[in-house]
Formats: sequence, C-alpha cells, structure tokens
Amino acid sequence: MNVPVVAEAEPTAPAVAATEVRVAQVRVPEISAAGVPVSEVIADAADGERSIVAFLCRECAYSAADAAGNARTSLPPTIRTIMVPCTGRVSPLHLLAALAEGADGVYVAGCLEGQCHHRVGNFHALDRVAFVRRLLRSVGVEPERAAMFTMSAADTPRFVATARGMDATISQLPRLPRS
Amino acid sequence: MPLSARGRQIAGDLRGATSGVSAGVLGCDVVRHDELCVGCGRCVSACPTGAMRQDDWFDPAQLFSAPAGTGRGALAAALRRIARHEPSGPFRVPDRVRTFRRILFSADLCAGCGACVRACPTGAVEASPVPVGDLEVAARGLAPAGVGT
Amino acid sequence: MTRCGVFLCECGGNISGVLDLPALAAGGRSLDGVVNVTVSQFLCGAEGRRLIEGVVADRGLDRIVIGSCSRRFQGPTFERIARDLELGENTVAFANLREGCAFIHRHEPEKAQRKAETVLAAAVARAGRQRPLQPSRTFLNRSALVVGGGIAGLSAAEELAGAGITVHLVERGQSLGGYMARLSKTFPTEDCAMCSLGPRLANAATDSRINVHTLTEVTGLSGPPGEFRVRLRHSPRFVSDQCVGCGTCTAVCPVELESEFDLGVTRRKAISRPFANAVPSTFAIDNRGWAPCTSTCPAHTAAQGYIALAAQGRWAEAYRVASAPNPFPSVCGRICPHECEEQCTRGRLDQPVAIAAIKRFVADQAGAADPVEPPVRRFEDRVAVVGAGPAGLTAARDLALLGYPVTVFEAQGVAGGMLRLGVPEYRLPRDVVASEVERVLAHGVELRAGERCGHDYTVDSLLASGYRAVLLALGLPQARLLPLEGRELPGVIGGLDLLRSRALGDPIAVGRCVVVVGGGDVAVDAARTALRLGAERVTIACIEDRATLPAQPGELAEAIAEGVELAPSLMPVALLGDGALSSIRFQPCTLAEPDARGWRPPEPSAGEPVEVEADTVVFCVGQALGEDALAGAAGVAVAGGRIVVDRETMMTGRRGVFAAGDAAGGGLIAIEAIAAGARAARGIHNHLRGEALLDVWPVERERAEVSDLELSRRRSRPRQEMRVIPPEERRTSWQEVRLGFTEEEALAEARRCLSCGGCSECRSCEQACPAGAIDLTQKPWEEELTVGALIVATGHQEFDARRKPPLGYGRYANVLTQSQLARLLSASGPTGGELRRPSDGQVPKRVFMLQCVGSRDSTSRGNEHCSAICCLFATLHASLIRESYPGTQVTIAYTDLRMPGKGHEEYLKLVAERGVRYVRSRVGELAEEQDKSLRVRWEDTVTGGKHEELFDLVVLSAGLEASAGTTQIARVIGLQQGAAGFLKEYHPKLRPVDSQRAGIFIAGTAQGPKGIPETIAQAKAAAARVTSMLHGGMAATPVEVAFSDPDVCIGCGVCVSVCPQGAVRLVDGGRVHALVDQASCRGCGICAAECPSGAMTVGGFSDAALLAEATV
Repeated sequence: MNVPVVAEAEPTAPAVAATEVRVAQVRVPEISAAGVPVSEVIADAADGERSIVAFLCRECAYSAADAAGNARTSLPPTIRTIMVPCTGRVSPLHLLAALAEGADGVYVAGCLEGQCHHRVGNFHALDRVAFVRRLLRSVGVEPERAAMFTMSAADTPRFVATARGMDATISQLPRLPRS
Repeated sequence: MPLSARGRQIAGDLRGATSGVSAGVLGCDVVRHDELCVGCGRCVSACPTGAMRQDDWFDPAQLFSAPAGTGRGALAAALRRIARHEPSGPFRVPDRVRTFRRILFSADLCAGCGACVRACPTGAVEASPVPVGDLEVAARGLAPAGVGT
Repeated sequence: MTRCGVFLCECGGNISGVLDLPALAAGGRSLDGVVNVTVSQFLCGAEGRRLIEGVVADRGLDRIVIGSCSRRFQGPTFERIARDLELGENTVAFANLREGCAFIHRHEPEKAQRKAETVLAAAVARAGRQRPLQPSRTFLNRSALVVGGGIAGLSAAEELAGAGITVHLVERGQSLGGYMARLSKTFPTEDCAMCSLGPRLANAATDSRINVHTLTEVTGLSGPPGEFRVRLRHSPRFVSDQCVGCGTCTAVCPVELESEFDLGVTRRKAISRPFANAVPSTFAIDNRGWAPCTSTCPAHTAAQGYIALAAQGRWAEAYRVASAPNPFPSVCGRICPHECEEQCTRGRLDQPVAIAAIKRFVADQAGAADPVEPPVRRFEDRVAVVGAGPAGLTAARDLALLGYPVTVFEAQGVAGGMLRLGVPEYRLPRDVVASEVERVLAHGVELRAGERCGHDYTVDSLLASGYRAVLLALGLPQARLLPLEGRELPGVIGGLDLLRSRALGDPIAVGRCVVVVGGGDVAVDAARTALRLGAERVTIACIEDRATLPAQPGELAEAIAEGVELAPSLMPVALLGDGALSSIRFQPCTLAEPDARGWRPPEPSAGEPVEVEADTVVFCVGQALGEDALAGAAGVAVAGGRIVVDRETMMTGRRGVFAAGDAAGGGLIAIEAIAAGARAARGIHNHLRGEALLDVWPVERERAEVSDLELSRRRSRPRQEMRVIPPEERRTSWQEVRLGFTEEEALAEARRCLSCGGCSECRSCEQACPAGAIDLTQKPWEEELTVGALIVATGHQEFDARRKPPLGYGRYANVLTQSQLARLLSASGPTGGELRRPSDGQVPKRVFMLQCVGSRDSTSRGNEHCSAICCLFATLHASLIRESYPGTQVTIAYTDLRMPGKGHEEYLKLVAERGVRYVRSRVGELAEEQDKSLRVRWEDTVTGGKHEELFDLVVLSAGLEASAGTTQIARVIGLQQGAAGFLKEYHPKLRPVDSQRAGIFIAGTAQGPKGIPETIAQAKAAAARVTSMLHGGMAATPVEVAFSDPDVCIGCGVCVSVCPQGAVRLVDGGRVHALVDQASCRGCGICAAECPSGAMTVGGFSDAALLAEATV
C-alpha cells in the first residue's frame, strides 16, 4: 500500500558511441547513508522531529487528505501538505528546494494513472520524481526521500497509508544534513 | 569567412543546409558553454546536419556549473546543500522530463553554418571565427566545450 | 513589503480545542510582513466577513492569510471577500489548520501546535510572494454550434435559443430528427415517437434563432473557446427551397436505392424525403457523383440515366437522356467502342452492363417518334459549319437548339461524314445514319451538300457573306499511303478510298487476294468490306502483335470468324509486281519504345522476310487533312497535321473561326468527335454572346464508386448476349451483323444496372417538378462560422449484426433488428404499421427476440458495454405486437433483464402479463428452413434445459455504438473517444456533459447508450453549460490559468509540446515567445513545471509562491 509507485531504473552505462562523447566513468554510490554505518543510522533515528513536505493535487489527493481530516484520522505531524492544481505543476526544483530548506522527505500525491483531471499531469509528475530520485542518488542522498503516490479522491485509507508509510520511511533515515 | 571544404560538401549535399545559411558564416567553429545550456533543444531542431543531438541522459555535473539566478542554478544550489559528494556520472532521464537532457555535439558532422548559434536563446552556443583552442578563445576565458560533456 | 493580515478561525472549538490560537497569533505577529493577527469564532460567517472588512480598511492590508479549514471548503468565500474589497485576485493565502492540523493531530497537541506554527508561517511567506492579478474576461461570441440534429441536438438547440443564444444546428443527413424519427412508439408510456419529436422539429424549423444546416458536415475547428471558428461543408441538395414538397419528383424518378431511413427494409427513390414531416421539408437528390460510365464517356452521357429509364420501359424518356449530349445515339449504340462498359462497376461482380446495346435499343425504339422542340430563344447571328460529320452535325444541332441559324457545308453529296462514308453498312446501316442526320436537320439546320471548301467557298467568303462564326469540322478525309517501292502499281489503294467508294456506290473492285496493311478499326472494316466485295482471301497485316492491336476486339473477332486472316508483327517493306501487283514483302518486326508523342515505330527483328501473295493491297495506316479544304481556310494554323485550337474556347488562331473533330483532334472515335462538336457549339455561343455563358469543358463530378462490401451483397445476373448473323451467312451479305436486343432483353439488361451514382441525372424530376425547384448545378460549398461554444450530439448507430454470422442477419430474410422492426411497426413506415415478415409478407405467428447482440460481449466481434435500452426496446415491441396481433407469440431470450429507471419495472410486469414469454437463455445458431422460417436452438440458463423451436420472425436487439458521425467529428475537433467510440466526458460524475476540450460539450447517445429522457436531460444540461459559459464568461480566472512572461521566455516550445489542452503556441512578436490561450488553458501547470527559463507560471501557483510555502 505504501510502496511508492516510482520505479527505479538503475543507470548502467550511457549508451553513447565513444566517438561522440568522452564517457565519464559512472559510479553508482552505495548509499546506505553516505559513509555512515547502518547501525549509526538506526541510532540516529531519534535525533529529532522529521519534516516531510507533501505536494497534493487539488482534484484527488488533497480531497482524500481532507476526507481523512474530517474523519479525525490520526496522521503523522511530520507531514505538511501543499496544494497544487495538478501534480504536473510540481517541478524538480520544488522538491529539491524543500529538501534543501529543511524537509527530510518530500512526496507528490495525485490522481490514479489514467484518471488525471488534466489527462497526463500525474505521468509528468511520476517522471519528474523519478528524475529527482536519480539526482539525489547521484550526490549520495537516499532516493527514497522523494516519492510519488497516486490515489482516487475517495481513497482516504490509501492517503492515510501512504502518509504513514512515508513517515515510517523517513523515520528510518537520519535527518538530512545540509551544508 | 571562407567555406571550409567539409562545410561546402555538406552544404551541397543537404537541402536544409543551404537555406538561411549565409556563406559568410559557414565554416565557423562551434563553441559550447554547457553551463549556460538549459536543455531546450532549439539548437537540435535548428541544426541541418544532425551534428547537434539531444539524448536521454543527463549529467548532474552540468547542473553545478550553471550560473546563479537561472532555473538550473537554483536547482544546483538546492542540490549542493544536501549533496554528500560530488555528483557521479550521467544517468538516464525518464521520458517526460524534457529539458534535463544533455546536448551532444559531433564535430565531424558540423557544417559550421551557425544555425545553432542563432537558435540558442541563452548564448550557450557560440560561433568562433577561429579554430577551437586558439589563443583568442582562451583569452576570453571560455573553455571550448569541444565534444562530449 | 506587503501588508499582510492574519485571520485565525476557532471553528467553534474544532480548531481552538486542539491548538492554542492566542499563542499561534502571538507567534504570527512576529512574522515578516504581518501587520495584524485576529482570532474569530467563526470566520466564514457574516461576522467574520465584517471583521475582515474592518481590519483591511483600518490597517490598509493588501494580503490576507486565513487560518481555518481546508481551502477546498471555504477558500472561495474568502477569495470573494478579497475580490469585493478590490484587493485583486490572488491576494489570499490559506493555512489549513483544521483538516490539515487540528483534526489529525488531536492526540498530540504539542506537535500539532508546532506544525500549526510552520503551516501559518508558510502561508504568510506564500502570501508575500503572491502577485495580485487583474480579473480578466475573454470576448465570448453569443452563439453556439450544435452538431447533430437528433432529439439531443434539437433539445439543446431549443434550450439555447430560449436563452437568447443564436444556434447553428448542423446535421449531415437531409433532415433533422435523428434516430428518434424512425421509432414507432417509445417506452414505457407507449406514446408515439413522432408526437413528441414533431413539435421539436417544427420549432427548429420556425425559431428564428435556430439556423438549420442539413447535409452539412463540420470539417474544421480553430480558435479558442468563446470564439471558435468552425468550418462547415455544405453538400448540395440539388433541390432549391422553391420546393413545395408535393412529391411529384419521386413518382418519376427511375432510380431506386436502399432506404437508410427505413434501415434497408424498403427502397426509396434517388430523390426523396425521409419522412413526411421532415425538416426541412424540401426533397433532396442523392447524387453520389457520376457513375463510372458517365465519367468515362467523352461526352459524359448520363448512361445510368437512360438505363434507369429503360429498365422501366420508358423508352421515349430514355431517348431524351441519351440524345441530349449526342444527336447520334442510334449510331453510337452500334459502333461506339464503349469504354464505359470497361469501367462498369458491374464488371467487378459478373459482367458489365451492355450499355451500348441498351442505347441502341432505346434509340431505335424511340428515336423516330421523339418530337423536335423549337429553341426557346432565337438569335440573328448565322453560323457556318464546314463538314457534316459527327462533330459538325453535333455542333450544328446544339447551335440550332441555342437559337442560331446554322448552315452546314458538306463536300460529299451526302451528310454524315465518316459515319456514312467510313463505317461499312453491315456495322452501321445507312438508314440509321440517315435518320439521325435527318433529325439534326429537322432542328432547322440548312445542309448544302456537294459544296467544297477551297473550291466553292472559303472561310473569307463565308465571313464576308454574313456568317458571324465558322466551324471547321473538316475531318481527315485523305488516306495515307506508305512511301514504299511499288506503291504506284495498280491494285494499291487507301482503306478510306475503298470504304468511301463502297459507301457511295462508286464502282470498285478488289482482287482475289487482298492484304490490308494496318491494325486499327479502319483496317478491320476494309478487310471485311473486301471480303464482301468478293475477295477470296483477306489478310490483315500489322506491325503490332496480337495483344496490342488497336482495333476493337469484338470487331476483330467477328472478322476472323468470317475468315479474315491476321498476320501480326509484320512491317511492309516492298510492293512487288511487274506491271500489276503480285505480292507484298514484309519484314518481321517488334515495336520500339514510345517516342515523345507516344508513337511506337516498328523495328525490324531477326527472321527472314515474308512474301504474301496479293493482287490488292489496302493501306489503312492513317489519315490526313484535305489540302484543298485547308487552302480555303486562310489564317488558320496547322501543326502536326491538325488545326490548332485554343483549348478553352475551341477557337482557331483566327477570330470567329473554330475547329472541332478529327481535323482539330485527330483519330477520334465517334463519341469523341460528338463531344468536340458540342464543345465547339458552346465556344461559338460564348463568342457570339460575348461572355462565358456555358462551360466549354464539362464541370465534372467525382466518380462514384460502389464499395466491395456493398457489391458483395448484390446477386450475380448474367449479361444478355446479343444475337448476330452466323459468320458463314454474313460474310457475303451487307446485312447488319448484330441484330440488337429484343424489348425483353433490353429490359432485363437495363435492370442489371447497379445505380452507382445514386441519382442518374436523367433529369426526369427536373421536367416533372411543378415548382422548378430542381437544380442539378448546385455545388458543394464551404462556410466559416464563429461561435462561442459547441455541443456535440452526433448520436449512435446500431451494432452491425452482420458481425455475428451465426445469427444470419443479412443472409436470412426474416432476421431483422429491433430498429428495423420499429420501422415495420411504425404507422408511417413501409407497411403502414402492419407487421409483415419480409420473405412472404405474412403476419408472423411466432416472433423470437434475441437480446444482447453485440452488447455485453467480450469477444472481438462485439462490445463489452450494456447498451442500456435494448431490454426495454424489445419489451416495447413485444407489447405492441401482442396488442395488435393477439394471436402472435413473442419470446424474448435475454441474458439478464436490466431496466432500472422510472416506471420501467412496472412496464415489464405489465408486458409480461400481456403474455410475452421471457426466457433467460444462451442462443446458439439460427438455421433457415425451406419456408424461410427460422429454427432456433437455445439453452435455458435457469434450468439448463436445451430447447429447439421454429419461429416466423427473429428480431435481434443489436446494441448501440458511436455513430460514424461521432467518430468523424471527434477526429475533426479533437475529442477523445472511449470504448465503442463513445465520447469521453471531462469527469464522469462532476462534469458529465463537458468534453475534454474547454467550450465543447457533449450530449445524448454520442456520449453513451441511453434512452430518450436521459438524452434530453443531458442535452438540456449541455445547453445550460453553454448558457452559463456564454453569459457569465469563462470560469477560469487568472489564478487558474498559465501565463508566460514574454520578456523571460526563450521560445524553446517545450510548453507547447507538453500542454494537454493544446492551449500554448509560439508567436513571433519580434522575439519568438510562448502565448497561452487563456480560454483553453485549464491551469494544470505542466508547462510551468517543464519551462526551463522560468517564464511560464500559473497565476495562483507561481514558483515563487510554491517555493515560499515549501521552504519555510
């Protein structure tokens, strides 16, 4: 239920003829926690309140969130929601800026595949989140700090489950260090 | 500027190469400033010979060279704050992400017509009247992009 | 710096019960840009409004932050307050303190408080970055286009017109009414369909705000909502609005076609009106273009027209049609090479219709009795025609009909030209030519035979003596001889000379052994003439091989049957003989590649020369202009052996002098010469009257093609073969070889015509119409309209039950669909409402109705959806049958009975009580019995029992799918289609009549299967959507649409490629930049997220605002 729908396509090597470009050596970093031993990651899990910024589309995910609220469902206080007209509005900059300015995780939630009120906005968002995850990975940041979920406006349980799942995921990670 | 032999040949072979191309510009060398590139692909559409290509890979290192105040610069600034190490090499870009894609330049296909230079909205492609590596270019402090990223 | 006021709502304890609002307010006061923080018990009420108004005024606020429930609930309330206070759009920010905080963190008040602080700070930060926007409203054209004239379109149009909106109601058919017009009664009330549809039709016809465009299709759409530019293509109706609707035309129309309105249960005429109260009431002609025969004929004779009349034995009328473009139908019926038959569609099925033979019968039968009408007008200008061949005489007749006095000069003693002198009488009897020449002269044409141009008169003398125009139809009277050694020997003659001498009765003798050199029709004629003149051995020698020989195959075959020998691929090299011809020497040859003019010269091939014994050699190798005649035509240019004429006017280089026929065209067949003569007549008329009054070259219609599918439904019927005199009898006789059709044969052959063109252009209706309303010159025309909005109501079509072969639809006469049954049960239908089965017209005693044909069917041959109306449709018809024919049993075999809706279940009970048998079953195959009854096997899916029963009539409840028109319009205007082609709505529940495109709405069965009440409800809903859009302006405010800053935009076009609405385009205003069509944009922001330059943004969701909110 709380598995992000973004699939990770791992890059292996760029498929570009050597005559055309100098191929930089691709290094896929082992990113348990950027050099921090796994035991420390778990120990650090209690180092303070995490913060998650969620971008919710006005048509489906935000409706589901409102329904969850009206039902007085308890949700992790780590998560702060921001309304967007469509998940297609969310750009990589929005996600990275949130992470850079204090969030430990970000996610985008929108309509189910094929049911976007703007037809393809959620597909754009899916690809952009995948892009951000690859960017994060390339600089040694855990890609699971960015995620994308889809749900119908009526599917309050899914909204709750994804929110809790994201919170659990981010709780497993250390606070995101910033320079 | 005289037409290079290669430029003449390609300009003759390709119908698109001769239209809108002034002989005075043909034969110039292309200098690319990847840090200014926003990946819009206009140079690719403009290039009559296929020397400019955009593929579905992106090198995050290119982001970090983008100047502040631009979209890419802002993205780089955010990424730099949380980066744990220098960016690793290129990765494949999902289909619908249109502009974060590298532009590839094949010098051997270039007719030197300068169409890319006129098309580039950010000044990331420049025409150099003298071969790459010449003192004049060096003097301006612009490392020629040459080939590859 | 902005001046921001924060208003926190307690929500009656909902928020304040969890959050410490005074503390939150205190923290809020220290935020950047905040000048005031207020807490209210209920911010959304009137008191809250007064509070906000007061603070805004007192403190001079320019931004408002609301800390209350979700923006989705009360957002619009506060936005309206800001608008009323003239703060501008986009000046309110929201902190979701209820659903986003208090409600979900009730058990963690401390954490909730900390989160609330962040949420509030984010909202304040966002407010500081929100740019006030001016409300804008696009220009909206207060008119709407409704596509589809069925009950949905009619209802929508009526509603729109009532709201004062100008409506253009477009229908591709000839009448409004759609599917509903075909129905007899409607469920569940069993009231007659026309009774409720009729007033709608009458209303559409009379309401001045509704512009009805029938026979019209939408071919293009551009422009933004509010100002759509719609391109319409109007097909000609061929009947003007002078039509009084009397129906005289249908009585005389000879063409019967399948009736689309009656769904093929009956036939209709090519000129028709689908039903009595059709709107418009004007009849229409179904002209699908020219039949292939008409297209092919050089004179574009309406062959389908005279054949259609002939098929009804209307010989005199058929003659009128056949002779209209051609004064020589009797001649052409005999000697025309009839390329029309090569192109006849029937040839794709079995054999082509014997068009020429029918024409011959028609002309022979009715030609003599046809009255010669005097011209309507008379002109003074005299015209001289030089040459009384087919071209000259046709021109003479046409000019006489136009009202000119015409004199025809003929060098020979008799008129007719090549028809009289070049075609032997066993093919074309002299009296046939003579009588058609007589008919031309009967139009008042003066013939001066025996007067030769260049001898007795010249063109100069004609013009000087008062003729205002001269037509040179001189023909090519000179036979060419090959420049061979020995051609001066006696016994060497030209083919034309041989034929002419025979025709004039001049003495002529041929030897015992005749060799005819040449491969054309003249060669065959010469050979057969030589045979009849007593030659013992006649050989045709030609340079072509058997396959490429230019002579008509039929003529050649007859010649060979008579004993003529054929020696192909031989070129003559010498004529041998000592004082008298004794033989001719040939070299075997092949033909070279065509030269520039298409001529393939012979090339000697390997092989010994051949010598053939000959005491007469006849050269049939071409003809030339008569030199003496040319001498009398000073100032007329000749090139390549032909008179040069201007293609547009048929005039020679000399003003007032025209040329036609062989002299101008060269090597024409009779009908080509006739067509040329007719063109010359028009050219002369235009010249004399000083303007282009008539088209010299015909304005062609598109060639009508019958599809293979349609053709496959026609039965094969063999062509009538014409009787001929046996070869042994005819080879010595000058009797006509081909005997012509009998009346029975002609009728049978004419009935084989497939009526490819629909209307045959026989013009019977034109003659019969008392109002003079028929206008076959109408042409398609296009028009562009500007409308504010569109409603697409293009309806459905019945599932084609042929896609289910085991059910036998289309093969078994007594298998119908429910819609066809509706026609049979309709009082205005083909049987006057009586139920008669198609095979024998008997009232069926046992009727079987099969449900779910093509519906609820997951095989590739059917549709998955339930068609929604079929259970009721079948129940209705079963009820009607039981009522009118109590003795008839009706069985309905259903999968499930599905008929929710008001009064439907009650109706089902009622009908079941009337004795209709419902069986839940699965039906296998249908088999047709000897008496055309149908044996049905089914399995009862309740009991599992197997049944087999005989029925007189089987009715298939074929489901609904989107009509062809729906698919077409979806493609033209860019609407999405779902399963079975139905149009997709914007949102199935919330916006059920909005399409995916702004400003375009959908209604009726184009959207999905539904009954009439739902259709009307949807149509009126769509009309309401259009009305609210056109009255109130577009719903989109600047907050909800994207905008590109032209100063920042780099013109890369990424936004154009990603916009799902097609709302962005690049414009070149000095610098290329993106421009968003505000009316089409739906504010998703995909473009803004993708924009590499940051120029693109969405009013209320700018990067600055979103980043401010996300990074607190």
